[in-house]
Amino acid sequence: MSFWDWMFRRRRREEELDEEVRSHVRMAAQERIEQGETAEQARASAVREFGNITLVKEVTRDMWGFRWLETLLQDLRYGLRQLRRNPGFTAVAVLTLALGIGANTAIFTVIDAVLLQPLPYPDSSRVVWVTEFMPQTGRDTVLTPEYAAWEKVEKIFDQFGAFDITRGVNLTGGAQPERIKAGHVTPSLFPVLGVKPALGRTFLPGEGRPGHDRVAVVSHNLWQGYFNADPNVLGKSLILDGASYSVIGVMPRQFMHPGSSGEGVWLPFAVPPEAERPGMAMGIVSVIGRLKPGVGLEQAQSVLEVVARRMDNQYPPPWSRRHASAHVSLNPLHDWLTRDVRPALYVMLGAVGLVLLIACANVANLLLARAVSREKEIAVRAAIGAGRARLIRQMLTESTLLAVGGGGLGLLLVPLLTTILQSYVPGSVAAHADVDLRVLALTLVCCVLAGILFGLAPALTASKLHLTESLKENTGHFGESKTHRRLRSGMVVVQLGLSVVLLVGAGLLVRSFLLLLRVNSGIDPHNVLTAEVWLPPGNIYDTSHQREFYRQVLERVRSMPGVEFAGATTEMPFTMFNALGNGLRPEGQPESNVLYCPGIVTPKYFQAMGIRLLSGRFFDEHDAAGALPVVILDQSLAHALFPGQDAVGRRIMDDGTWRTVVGVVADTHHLGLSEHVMPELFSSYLQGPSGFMDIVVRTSSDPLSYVSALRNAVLGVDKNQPLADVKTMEQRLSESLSTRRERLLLLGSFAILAVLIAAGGVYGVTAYSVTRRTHEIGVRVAMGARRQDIMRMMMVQGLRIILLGIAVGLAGALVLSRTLANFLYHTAPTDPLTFATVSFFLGVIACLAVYLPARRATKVDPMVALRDE
Amino acid sequence: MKPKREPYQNRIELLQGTLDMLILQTLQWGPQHGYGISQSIRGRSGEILQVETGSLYPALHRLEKQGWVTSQWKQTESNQRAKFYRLSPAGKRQLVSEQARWAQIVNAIAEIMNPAPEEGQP
Repeated sequence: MSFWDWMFRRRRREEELDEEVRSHVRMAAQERIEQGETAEQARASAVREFGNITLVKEVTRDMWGFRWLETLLQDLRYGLRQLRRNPGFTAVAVLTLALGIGANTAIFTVIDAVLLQPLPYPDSSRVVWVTEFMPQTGRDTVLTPEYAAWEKVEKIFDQFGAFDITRGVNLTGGAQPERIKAGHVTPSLFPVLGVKPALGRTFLPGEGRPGHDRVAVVSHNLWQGYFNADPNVLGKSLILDGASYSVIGVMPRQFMHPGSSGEGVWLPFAVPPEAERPGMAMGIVSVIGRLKPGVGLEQAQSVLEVVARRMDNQYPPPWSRRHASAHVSLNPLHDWLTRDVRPALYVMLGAVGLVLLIACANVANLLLARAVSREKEIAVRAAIGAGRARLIRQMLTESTLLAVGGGGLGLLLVPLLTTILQSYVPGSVAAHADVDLRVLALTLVCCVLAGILFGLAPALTASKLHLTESLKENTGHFGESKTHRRLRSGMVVVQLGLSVVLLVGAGLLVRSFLLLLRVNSGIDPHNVLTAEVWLPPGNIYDTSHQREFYRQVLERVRSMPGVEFAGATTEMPFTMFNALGNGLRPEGQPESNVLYCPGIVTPKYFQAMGIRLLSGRFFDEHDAAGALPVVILDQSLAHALFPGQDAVGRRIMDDGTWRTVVGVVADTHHLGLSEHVMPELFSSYLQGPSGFMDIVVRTSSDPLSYVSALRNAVLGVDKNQPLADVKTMEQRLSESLSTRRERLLLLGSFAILAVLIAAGGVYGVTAYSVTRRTHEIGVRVAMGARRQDIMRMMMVQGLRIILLGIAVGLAGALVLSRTLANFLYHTAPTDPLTFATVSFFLGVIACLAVYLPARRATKVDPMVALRDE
Repeated sequence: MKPKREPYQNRIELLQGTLDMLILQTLQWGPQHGYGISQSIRGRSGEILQVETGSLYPALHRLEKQGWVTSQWKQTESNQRAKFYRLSPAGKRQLVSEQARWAQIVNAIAEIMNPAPEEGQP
């Protein structure tokens, strides 16, 4: 049966029912006439006796089935008509909801992609990240001896693999030398992830050992770019760091390395035999494994822990007791990769949830106001037989229509918002955040829930009204009912309260950020250009070559006009990785356990970076091989090793050599502004060169205009040496704060949005109250009330609500701001200054929102108001 | 005045399902229209049972939907067009079972209201 058939039959039954009722009345009247009543009387009595015709028809129709659908269509039609009749109200409500629902959908889209969708590896729930947490360093690291020991454990893992920290390699042979990211992975890594290459094969067991390590798996991007998507790429050679590798495989386009930083190539890696034992050769690896089915995390963890503890006595002091404090931890790969973004995303979800609640409260208020002006209409509907449930359903249909309209509009905002949000999630984690059916379903649920949420209170109050009173003329002129007013004020209190919570959150982030900007980084980032210029490791460059290379490059750079200073360092500030040392022995003292960061720098590095000298001198060209071994300390290391004394001239035993301290420089926040100062020990590059240096150039004008000159200087010394990571120091500083900045902007914009909506709510409630009380105010003015009195009356009424809202919000913020603790810098979650500022700010805005409509109340002309009867 | 919506005051509440049974019983004597049914129930109960239209018509339409009655437009004796309801075979079976159930209920209620003196008691 088609819909139209159904509608047709429905109409016929409708007509039949009419006829049936009419015949009933006719017959009843006929009988009365026969008993001697007049025709008119008889008809009137028959109708009265029949009862409420509309209602009887309605309950009869209910028996037909599909009644709910019919009612729904009817309600929808009626609701649409109502909304069209009030375009202003509808626009405000729909826009408010669009923002609330759109933001929620966007956050959910990102959360879905990042946290809910599994990683793009088959059966990825069994893939775990294995690490050891070291309380001394606060780091999660696994050393090669542990990895080697764990690899021999049976019955826990199906596959067990490791990879080295992703490093750049120099790719030559193209038009220009390039620096690309290379993942150094054990052959077992690909099977752990369960991914197959798109072309060729991945590594075989044993590849990575010397003599079998010149093979490479390339990424889809490199294959497309460097090899022009050549289908016969297998077996072709690739010159990386001056050595020739044979391409054995191409990974699929969507393949992502865990914790990816955009690898272009994967090279086989094996732990060298000497690094399997504790000692100088050991290194740090990242370890992942695929658990055997049925093996639990805790079981695996305790097995690996036992193995690790057993190794402790093989370590030299001070590491021999490291497992007394360090502990092995296994984490599902997904959890591990999202550990940083997860809390931030939840906070954002909470924030947009609050925004949506505020929006709902606002729309509820609009509906409440409208319900009052619709009192008569509703009373009429009730009088002709509409039941309470029916009225509530009608009102809820209208509010849900609004919500769905808002949701539809909100969906248009989602792609934009999602893009903004995604920029802040690491690439390796985020699957494609697309608005799919699940997200749409969620939005719809959101809409319906919101519709019911903000529609219920108005519907309940409206349907409870007192028939006779409402139908009488003139009622409602003297203010609205008390419950009604309370409800409306309550909604505003809720809006203000939630806004306070959001504002406090944003305020705490702002305060943290401002404090961070005030941190003295210890360097002068203005007009400084930096670039990573790392030489290929291995035999091609021995130490004298390294020394010669950087000397020549720096010489060329220094001769460029506009260059003030040029130097180089192995420890670029604000980069993620840095070396870590321990076990310095100051002269005449026992070995110190201070952790420090060892850097190798060239002469003029400190001047180029703008690091101040506190005492002694900087390095110069005479601090070369064969001369007195020298070091420079930063202030915190000098203080730790030689408390209360001048460190200059003292000696330190490091690596078996006595080195003389020639200078002390200011501390720098080289790990990032929000991090503690990690002590640094600088040695002269001329006395112990390195091939992994970053060039630092201080210029007299815009540093970015020197990029090509810098590149030419490097290429002039070695045409196969690429530059990477070319950035100004200001860019690096700004990037180190970008996560905080984005968090701040997001939460801040949500908070501002909340305040705007809440201010709209306050304004609306006051303006409405003024309209309702025009008559009363007119009477007051006629009786001699002055403008100030009227203004005071309105302001007092508004202020009570505002103060209550702020108080409620502050209480809520006290509880909720704790969730932000990890995002704050030197700011307590209960920071009184922030709480006070926020209260004041919101208070002022809310007062303004009361003042504007209240001013209108003072302009009420008593004559007009009283004539308005 | 406190408005209270109570449309069916002042009537004897029929037990759930009893109205259906009364209608089926009435139709046993031949097809009848809605007005006739209500008049018949009123007359046969000695004016005690007044069937409200708001109960009668939903009941008729419900019975029709369940297939216990069928309907047809016919002329009345006074030459009016009216919708006549007729008992279907299924409706007859339903009536028999309703009658049995009714007898049970009446007996059960009578037991409670007028308990027979228990044996062995003085």
